Amino acid sequence: MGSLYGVWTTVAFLVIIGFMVTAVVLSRKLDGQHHRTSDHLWDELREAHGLTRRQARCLRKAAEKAHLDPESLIFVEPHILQQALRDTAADSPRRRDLEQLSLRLYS
Amino acid sequence: MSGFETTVDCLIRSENRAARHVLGHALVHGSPEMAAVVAERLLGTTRGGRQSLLVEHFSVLSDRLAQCVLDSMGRMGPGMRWAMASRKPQLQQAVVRLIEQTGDLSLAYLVAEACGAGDAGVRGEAADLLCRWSRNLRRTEMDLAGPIEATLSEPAARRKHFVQDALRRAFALRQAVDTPRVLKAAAMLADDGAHWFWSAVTLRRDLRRQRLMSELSQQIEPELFGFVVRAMEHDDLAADAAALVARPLRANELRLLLREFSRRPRVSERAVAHLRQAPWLTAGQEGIEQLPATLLANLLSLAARSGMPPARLAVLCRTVAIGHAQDDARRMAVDALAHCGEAGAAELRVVAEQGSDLAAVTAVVHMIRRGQFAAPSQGAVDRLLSHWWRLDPAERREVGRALKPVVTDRPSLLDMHLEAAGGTLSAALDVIRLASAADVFAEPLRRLAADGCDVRVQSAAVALVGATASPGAGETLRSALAARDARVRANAVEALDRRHADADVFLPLVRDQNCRVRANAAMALLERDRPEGRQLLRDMFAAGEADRLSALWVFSRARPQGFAKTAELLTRRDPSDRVRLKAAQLLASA
Repeated sequence: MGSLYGVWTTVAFLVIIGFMVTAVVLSRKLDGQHHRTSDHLWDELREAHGLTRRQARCLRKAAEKAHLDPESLIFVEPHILQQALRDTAADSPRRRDLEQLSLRLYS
Repeated sequence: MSGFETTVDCLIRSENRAARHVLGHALVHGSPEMAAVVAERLLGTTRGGRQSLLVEHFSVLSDRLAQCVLDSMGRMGPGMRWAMASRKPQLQQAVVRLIEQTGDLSLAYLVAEACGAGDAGVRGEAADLLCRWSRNLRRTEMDLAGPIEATLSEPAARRKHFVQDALRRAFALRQAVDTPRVLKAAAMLADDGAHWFWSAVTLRRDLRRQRLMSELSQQIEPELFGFVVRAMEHDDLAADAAALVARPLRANELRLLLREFSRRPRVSERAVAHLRQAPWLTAGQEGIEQLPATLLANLLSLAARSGMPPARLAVLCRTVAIGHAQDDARRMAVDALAHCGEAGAAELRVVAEQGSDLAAVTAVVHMIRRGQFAAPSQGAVDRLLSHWWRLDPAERREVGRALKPVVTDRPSLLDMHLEAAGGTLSAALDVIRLASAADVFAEPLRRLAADGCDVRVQSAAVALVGATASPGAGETLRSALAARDARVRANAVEALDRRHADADVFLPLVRDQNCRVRANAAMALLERDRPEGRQLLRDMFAAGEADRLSALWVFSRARPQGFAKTAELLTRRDPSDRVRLKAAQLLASA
C-alpha cells in the first residue's frame, strides 16, 4: 500500500509540473504575439496596398526615424513621409520610391 | 478607391489590436479630410468594436463629424451595442451621453442595459436619463383630456413604448432596488398593460415596492399622481397610495390630482374611503374656488364617497357654493349640499341668505323641497325673482306652487316687483300664475293689463286678470280686446271665454287680422253654438297656411260637427307639409 501512495504522489507531482510548464509556454507565446501585433498589422497594410518589400522597407525606416509606435501609424501620418521626401536628394532613386508611396498611400 | 480608403478599410477589417489604436489616432488627430473618411467608413461597417471608436471619441469630434454621427444614428447600432457590452465605464458612459444627445428613444434599451452596469456613475447617468424621459412623456400625457390610452397620439405612444420597454428591463435588474429614480420612472409610465410593474408593487414584501413607497412618502411629484390613482384601484396598494397624497396640496397640484381621478372613474368606494382625512378634501384647501366645474364635480364626488362626516362635507359644499367663480360650479355645490342630510339645512340657509346669484336661488329651491322656506326674508324672495328665469320649467312650477301660502299671506313680498319695470316683473307674474294667487293681486294686475308699455307683461297680466273674481276684471279684459298687440288680444279673448262672457263680445274679432285671435274667437263662438263660429272656421280652413294650422287647433279642441272630412282631406291634399302633418297627428289622436 505504501508504495502505491508513493506512485500516486509522484504522478500528481509530475502532472502539476506539466501544468506549470504549459502555463509558462502559453504565457510566453501570448506575450510574443502581443509584441508582434504591430508587425502583423504592418504586413496586412502592406498587402492591402500591394507594396513591394523595398517600398515597405523604405516606409518602415521613415516610421522608425519618426519614433512611431506602432510603426503602422505611418499609414495615416502623411507628414512624416513628406519630411522624409524633403530630407532625400532630389535625383535619388529612393526619392522616386517615396513619391510613389506618398501618392499610393495618401491620395 | 483611394490609398487612404484602402488603409482605413484594411484597419477596419483587421483583427489586430493595434488597428483600433491606429484608427482612433486617425479619427482624433488626423486632418479633417482623413477624419471624415474614417468616420464615414466606420459608420458603414457592421463591426461593433471598430464602430465603437465613434462613440468613444464622440466628444472630441469636430462639429461637422459629430453632426454626421448624430444624423446616422440608425447605422450606429453595432458600435453602441459593442460599447455597452464592453464593460468599460468610459465607453458605457459615452453611449448614454450620446443617446441623450440624439434624443432617440428607440435606443432606450441600451440605457436600460447601462442601469445594470458595474460602475455606479454609469448606472446613475442611465437612471437619470430614463427618469427625465419618463417625466417628459408623463407631462405630455397629463396635458391630455380623457383616458390616456384613447387620446395619446401614435408617435407619442410609440415613444412611450420604447421607454416602457427599457424600464421593464431596468426594473427587473438586481440593482433596481438601489435606484429609486428607475422605480419612480417606472411608476410614472406604468399603465394597465404594465403587469411586470403592478405584479411586483402589489406584493407587500417586494423590496422595490418598499423602496418606491418610502421614496414617495418623502416627496411626491405631480407626475406620479397618475400612479397614485391607478394604485388605488389595487386593493393591496390602495391604503399606501392614498397615504402618499394625504397632505396639503398646492392649487396646481390639486388640479392635477383631480384630473387624474377624472381619468379613472373606477376607483372603488373602499379605496376612496382612505382619502377621508386628506387635507385637500376640506373647506380650507387652497384653490378649490378656482377649480373648473368638471374637476370640482370630481372633488365633491370624492368627498361624498369618502364617507366623511356630513357636517364636514356640508361646510365644504357651502364654501364652494358661496365662493366659487363659476355659476355651474356654485350650483353643483348647492345640489351636493342638498344631499348632506340634516347637516345641510343650516348651510343651505347660509347660501340662500349670503349667496348673490343662481346658487342662492338653487338653495331656495332645495329649502322649499325640504319645507324650510315658510318665512322667507324679502332679500331671499328678491334674489329668487332676479334669477327666476334661470331655473328650469319644472323647478319654476315646483317653487311657484310651494310659494302659494307665502304670497297669499304676505303679498307685500311681491309689491316692489309688481311696481318695478325691471326684469323681475314678469317673474313676479309667473309666480302669481303658478301659485294661483291672482285674486290676491287683482288691483295691480288690472293696472298692468291696461298698461301697454310692455306687451309681454301686459299679455301675461291679461291672462291673470281672467283668473280673478274681481268685479272690474271683465271691463279690463274688454278694453284689452282693442289692444294693438295680438298676444294681448288673444289672451283677452281666452280670458273672456273662460269667464263665460256674452257671444256678442267676440263677434268683432271674427275679422281680426291675427289668426290666433280669430281662432280663439272661433273657439268661443263654437262653444256658444253660434253660426258665426262655424263660418269663421270654414273660412280659416280655406285661407293661408297659418290659418289652416289655427283652424286645425280649433277643430282639435272644439270638435265641431261636419269638419272631420275637411280635416281628413287636409291630411292627403294640403300643399303644406306642416298642415298635412298636423292634420294627421290630430286625426291619429282623435
